[in-house]
Amino acid sequence: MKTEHLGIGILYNASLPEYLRQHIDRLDYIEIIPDMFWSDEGRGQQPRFRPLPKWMHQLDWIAERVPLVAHNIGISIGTIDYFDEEYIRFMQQMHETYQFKWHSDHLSFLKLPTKGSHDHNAGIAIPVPYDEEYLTMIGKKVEFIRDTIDIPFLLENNVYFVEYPEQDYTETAFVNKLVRNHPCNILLDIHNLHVNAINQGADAKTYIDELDMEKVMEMHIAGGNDMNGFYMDSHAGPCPDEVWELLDYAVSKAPNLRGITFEFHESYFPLLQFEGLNRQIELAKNTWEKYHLKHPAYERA
Amino acid sequence: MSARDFQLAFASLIASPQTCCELLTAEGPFFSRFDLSEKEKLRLRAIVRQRGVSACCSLYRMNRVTPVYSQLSNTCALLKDKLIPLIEEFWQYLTKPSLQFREEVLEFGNFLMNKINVGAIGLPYLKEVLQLEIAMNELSYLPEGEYRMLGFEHDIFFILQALAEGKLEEAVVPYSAKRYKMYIKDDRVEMEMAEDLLSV
Repeated sequence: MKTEHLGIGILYNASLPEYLRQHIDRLDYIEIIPDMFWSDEGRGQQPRFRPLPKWMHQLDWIAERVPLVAHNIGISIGTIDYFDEEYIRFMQQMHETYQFKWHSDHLSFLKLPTKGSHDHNAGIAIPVPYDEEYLTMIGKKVEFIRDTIDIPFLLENNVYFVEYPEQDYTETAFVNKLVRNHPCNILLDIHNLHVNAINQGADAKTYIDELDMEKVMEMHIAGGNDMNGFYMDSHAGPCPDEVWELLDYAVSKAPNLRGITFEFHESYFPLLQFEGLNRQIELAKNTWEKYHLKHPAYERA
Repeated sequence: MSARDFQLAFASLIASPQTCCELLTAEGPFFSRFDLSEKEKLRLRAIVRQRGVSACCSLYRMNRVTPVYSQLSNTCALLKDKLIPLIEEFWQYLTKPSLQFREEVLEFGNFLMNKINVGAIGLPYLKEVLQLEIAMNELSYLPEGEYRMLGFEHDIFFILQALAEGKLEEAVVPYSAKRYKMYIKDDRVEMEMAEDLLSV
């Protein structure tokens, strides 16, 4: 399957409807977090997933105008002894309606199974240990997802604040083996690399050099801010200069890139305003066009 | 079972700085609650000694308070510095959250309403604002056409306006017993007066 070469997108949030009404023509696609558009009534409930009317109106409006991409937060692919097949099947139904170009989630665990109808939510996405046991388990889930939803599935690199000792693989070796052996691509979050560089001293360019960049299909960019001596992936307004520099470096090495998505948290809309959003999109487009306009990636893929 | 318990143990550390302290000072009782391999114990010991664990705990608290703060914003504004102790008490009570906005908001709303009803919290107008915000939260998950009937003893619009302007404490809020039909139309919350309960 040939996946479309899209361009620049934005992650949808509740502050965006008015902006989109005026400026949607600046965007090549919109990325949504599908979990925000429904209410999960819990296992065993009929229907289990109840679409939220107000949000669905927005989604229908967007879907008539630009392509959609899905970025899940609820697969929790790293949870041991847990896999929510109903969730994946509902995503397939969403895809049938909205024809997502691809979908993604995080290389982490968030949900923990309980005996009740709702899972326990750990509150933050916790990176998986990069061990053989996890590689095997995640690989099987990826196969199921890909068999169920016939579009590319991407996994996003983590932000981490603590490190596990004695792991079987480095993160890049783990991801490379996962995407080499299973039908999976990479969502490279450039801001996450920047966060890890500041907090953990990780070298972001080395990470990019080590990663199988041919498997990178999407990149995320964002801003952050400081909290109690840490730099947080808070999506706090515009991207810092280091992110633009890293984006340029990463895009130059990603021949199969299909889209760059700007993420911001809705509470930072007053900081960005329309002009600020337009500026972030323009800067991302400059990087995209530098490497992809003359030689579109899909033609080389 | 071991890897599953490792994930539960890690999540319990993130959810509670007190549990982190327990692991640092007396690991036996902490480890006795989980079935862990020696390697997993080593990892948990290492994690809890890294400064980043405090960032994980802070993120957990921020993410967990967000549904309540965003959906019950006026209630939170009325509670002021009582909010955090109440939230922490609620978290002791609901230890395995789904973090689904609706459940978290409804659970906290009910927890708070029980406290109000038994007189444990006696802030003026809190009950009226809370019932309004609980109803708005419920309606936001329902199809248009659904509605809630709400009764107020004071002018709820006056209360909300004064709260938004930071003038509620010095305001003289008019007594105004009324019932309203609340519903959502064209993505907007509408309130329609049902009947006067009292003629003042």
